[in-house]
Amino acid sequence: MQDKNRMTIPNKVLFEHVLEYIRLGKSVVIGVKGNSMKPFLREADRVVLEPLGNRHIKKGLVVLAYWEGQIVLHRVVKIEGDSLYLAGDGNVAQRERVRKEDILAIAARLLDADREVDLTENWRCYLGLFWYRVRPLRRIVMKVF
Amino acid sequence: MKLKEDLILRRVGVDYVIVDPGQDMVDMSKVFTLNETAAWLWGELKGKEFTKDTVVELLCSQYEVTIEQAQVDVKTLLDTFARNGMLDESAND
Repeated sequence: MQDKNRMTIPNKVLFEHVLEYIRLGKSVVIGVKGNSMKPFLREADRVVLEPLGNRHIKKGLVVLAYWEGQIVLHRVVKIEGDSLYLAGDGNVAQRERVRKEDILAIAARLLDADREVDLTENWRCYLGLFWYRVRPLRRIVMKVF
Repeated sequence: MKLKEDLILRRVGVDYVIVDPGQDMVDMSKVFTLNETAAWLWGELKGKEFTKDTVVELLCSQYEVTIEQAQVDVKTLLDTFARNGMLDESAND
């Protein structure tokens, strides 16, 4: 669906709206930007963000979080007390350390053209974590190819 | 025609966006940005029945623009609205 009239709204502006709705307890659909969550989320994939509510944050979940003045949509790869470590599936080195209160929303579902994918399912979380753990291998593969 | 009822014009900083708030899910993967003039027109037309001529008149009353130019701009604007499903065209103009 390439629409020449499609415009990209600066992240900051978009997220001000998104966060306002999240705070009101609404779910918000956003389009994924960039490739940092490849191969699990791709550019322009539509993702449903849900407010945290009383939900338990577990490893492997993809979350929206504040990190150093930016907002990232990355996977929780490690939890240590009040600190959480996030990583983009597509990144091979960077990891972001955030606090629990920096988590703004959970990426609950992926909306495909014809189906909905539950991103919080355990096996999906494990698969994402597995992908994170083989980072050293992925680094090598990237160098070779 | 009318602007679609449930769409909301929002402003953040210098940007105006049109959001479809849905029931309990807000779709921001498809939002529309408007420039200041279009946003002003949106505010004026909101909730009213209007025709292309109404919009041209409005535009001319607020901005220093020739009728010919206004007609061209309004057509472009309304075409864009229509193409993106932002109009309720059940009533004919």
